[in-house]
Amino acid sequence: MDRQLYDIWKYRALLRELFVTWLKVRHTGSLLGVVWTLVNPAAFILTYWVVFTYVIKIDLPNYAAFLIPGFLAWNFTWNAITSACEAVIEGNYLITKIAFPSEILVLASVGVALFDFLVALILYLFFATLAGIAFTPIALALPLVLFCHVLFTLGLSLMAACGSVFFRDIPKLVGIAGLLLFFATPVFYPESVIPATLRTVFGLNPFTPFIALYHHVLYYDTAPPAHIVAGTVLLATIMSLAGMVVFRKFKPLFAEHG
Amino acid sequence: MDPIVRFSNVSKRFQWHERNLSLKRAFVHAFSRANTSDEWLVLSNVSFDIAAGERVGIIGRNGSGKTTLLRLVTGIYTPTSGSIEVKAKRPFALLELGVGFYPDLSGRENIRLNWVFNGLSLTELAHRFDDIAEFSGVNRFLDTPLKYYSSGMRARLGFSIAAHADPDLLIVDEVLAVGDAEFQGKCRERIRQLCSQGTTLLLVSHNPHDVEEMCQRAIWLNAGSVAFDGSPDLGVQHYMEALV
Repeated sequence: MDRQLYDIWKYRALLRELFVTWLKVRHTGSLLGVVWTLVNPAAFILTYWVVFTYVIKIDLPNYAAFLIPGFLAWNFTWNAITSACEAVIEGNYLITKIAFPSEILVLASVGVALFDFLVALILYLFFATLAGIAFTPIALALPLVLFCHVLFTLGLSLMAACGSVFFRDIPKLVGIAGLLLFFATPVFYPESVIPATLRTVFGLNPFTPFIALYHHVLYYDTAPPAHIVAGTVLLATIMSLAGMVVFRKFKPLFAEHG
Repeated sequence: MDPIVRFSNVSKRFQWHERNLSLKRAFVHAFSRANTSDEWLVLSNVSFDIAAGERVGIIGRNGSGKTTLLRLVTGIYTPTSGSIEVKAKRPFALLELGVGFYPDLSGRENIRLNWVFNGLSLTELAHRFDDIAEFSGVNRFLDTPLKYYSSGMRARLGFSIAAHADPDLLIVDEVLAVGDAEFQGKCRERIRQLCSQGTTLLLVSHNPHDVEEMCQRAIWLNAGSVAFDGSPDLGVQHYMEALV
């Protein structure tokens, strides 16, 4: 693993350049250019805010404030996984022509998704404050929440990207899994509505504790229970390590399987 | 002195898989005895040493394993058996010109990106940038998106980056075949210049004259084995005789 980390470190300039390039390139030809980076999340947040504050009334106080942070976190994870799969498939040409650590492709994809997520989250905090939502000091734990969540997402992205090289169905399955899991994860409903009989089944869903962290820190304003914190730290560690190990094991075959 | 590249009994076996292998097929395969993958040996038992500063040309027909050999040297492929030692500190492989160029980025941005793709530092690029731009001859269009470049301009830019990366091992695959005569001449001249400064050259070319002219040693690969390893004149002669 130290060799793998050393190679990635050695190519950190490439990671930065690719990250910047991908951010730049995706808006070329559009009139607003990089402004879209702000317009998209702003439209997303405002739409959900207006709809769930004025149009659809849900029996949960300030429902929009419950929904949006978790939803953004959810979108980050799935955008990261999907774009990581695309990056290694489209980047196969590069992998067969230049010797560089292909982890960089996944890291840059996750980086771009994270950038979008952070922009959206900051916009949300700004809008919510304007709308009169008061965040408590527990919100300062957000960087820690993000750290665990990013590691978890990175691990999943590495594994999914690795699988995509060998099985082109994986990006498609990822799409379907994201859709199904969205409803199986308490993103737009609180955990309390899950019937007691199904609690164990829902408890197996690894995404649940991560979303719960956002709910606790930004909505309930309470310190998350110890078992959720322990669970997410454990999942983040296991997934990121597993992702690195799986990727290292299979990446020598990438160039042959394109 | 230790060789800069050492191949010891290197074999490379490829498995042919159906393209875009799907999960369904993988599942079916797991339960069927029919063998639908095919294997073939691209390189078998290849051994050679290349000393630092040597200029080696690799000749052989299409499909004889030349590009596979170069990819093994760069580490893009791993050998099926045998061992490969590459002692180069700054290898640079030109397997194709302009790999990793983005059409929407300007020439300047593409130089940066390509530079770091090859693991080189941006601080160094700062000292090299003007030379790269100058040599490539696209000076006036550095801020133009690459998609408006002609293919010749793109090739010149790609070669220029490699030519100024101070490689101690330069790996070149067929790239001299692109571009006009003037560009080709300029490339040859630049490669010669690098070699005179001590760069080791590993060159694949379909043009036997390139090998005769630029190399001091030729390795003829025939169906994945080393058929000849020695002076370029003799190597090319044997190769040409085998062709007819």
